[in-house]
Amino acid sequence: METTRRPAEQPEAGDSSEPHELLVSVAKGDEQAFARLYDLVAAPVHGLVQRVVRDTAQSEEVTQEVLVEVWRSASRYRSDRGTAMAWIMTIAHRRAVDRVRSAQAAAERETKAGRQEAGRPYDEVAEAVLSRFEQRQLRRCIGTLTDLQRESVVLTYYRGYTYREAAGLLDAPLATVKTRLRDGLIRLRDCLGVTTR
Amino acid sequence: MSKELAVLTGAYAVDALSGTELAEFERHLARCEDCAQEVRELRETAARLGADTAVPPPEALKQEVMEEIARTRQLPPLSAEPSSGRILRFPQAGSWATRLAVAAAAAGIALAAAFGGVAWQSQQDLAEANRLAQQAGSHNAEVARLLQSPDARLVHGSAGEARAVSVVSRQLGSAAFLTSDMPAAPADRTYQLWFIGDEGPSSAGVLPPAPTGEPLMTAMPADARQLAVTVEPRGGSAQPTTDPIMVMAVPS
Repeated sequence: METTRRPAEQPEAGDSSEPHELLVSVAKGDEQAFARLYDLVAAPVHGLVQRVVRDTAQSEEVTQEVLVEVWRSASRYRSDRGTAMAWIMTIAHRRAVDRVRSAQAAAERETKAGRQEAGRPYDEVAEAVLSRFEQRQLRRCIGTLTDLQRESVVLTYYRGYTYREAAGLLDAPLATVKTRLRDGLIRLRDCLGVTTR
Repeated sequence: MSKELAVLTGAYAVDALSGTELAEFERHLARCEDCAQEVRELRETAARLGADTAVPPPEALKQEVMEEIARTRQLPPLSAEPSSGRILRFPQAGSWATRLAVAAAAAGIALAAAFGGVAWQSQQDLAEANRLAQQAGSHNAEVARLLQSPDARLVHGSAGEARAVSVVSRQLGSAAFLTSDMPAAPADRTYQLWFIGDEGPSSAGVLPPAPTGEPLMTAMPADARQLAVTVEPRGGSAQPTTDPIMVMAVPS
């Protein structure tokens, strides 16, 4: 499979391996390493969880679950399958989605989201974790998506909808949303130069 | 890769599949290395979107998390070369659910009310819980904690004469597994317990060679959907090398 490498001029490249090394120590039961890993990842994890879950109290619960899960499953992290950060964010996203999909939470969320929706741009940024370079790159790459690709990605990833729900919201055929979602992510992958091998 | 399913890598990578479609895609994923690779890349991509925004959680959360991890057992590592083993497809839980319910009821160790996700509600439930607690031996405290967890669920399995009961709690991320009437494994073989989740099977440990009557306590991965028992070479394997003799659905 063809993949482009990450740009060499990217700043803070030295830091990017740090979660990896900490996670390796955490797998051996190193609580100090976990405390340092917590400092690195708690804010991005919470940022993502809150974006999906929205409710403040529930978001905090989910963030706590995610971080404990990172501790518990650290030995299952495989560096040849992706970065430590992606492994952690994948856990965070799944837990957040699990929470909003439970029927009751979904009902509560309907009303809350309805109230918060107005005037809240999806990319409201509290504090950036990515370097300025990475953020510019991300924005630029998101800008290359078609509207339907972008909306499919945003509704599923940031809002936690299934692609079927997203298709309903977008008033688009299921097959179209399914394809646009994949195309959009592939375009982002190539634009960001993401590679896992 | 099958075209119809191959398109779902994107939806899967952002957790946008559900129900039977999710199960179907995961079965496909286990056999399609190209799809698995694409999923990894798209997850990596999605993670960049996720790491775009940082919102520090309340200060107090760190203390809570540190206290919780201090009393949380970590999952054991998988062997260094997990991919060298043969990865088997496991049967679906559906047909087992019925067979288990019937078998368990016949064996009298059944908690019909518990199977399928209702917690301790009947006298029989309590009796079963007590039996587990009494046999817990050295794991007494762990089992007691598990039984008291508000989301504890009992599941049953059987294979021939052998019966198994497991108590699982997603909240605690742990499970107790107890067998009865299990024939001794051949001399150079051992029974091994597996959790089956998104990434395929992961070992939950090797069952003690002689039936001690004590449950096997094990940490349960968050994505566990099934529990399975296989017969493995002594010492256990990194990945199952034989078809499971028993499969139990883990309630979500």
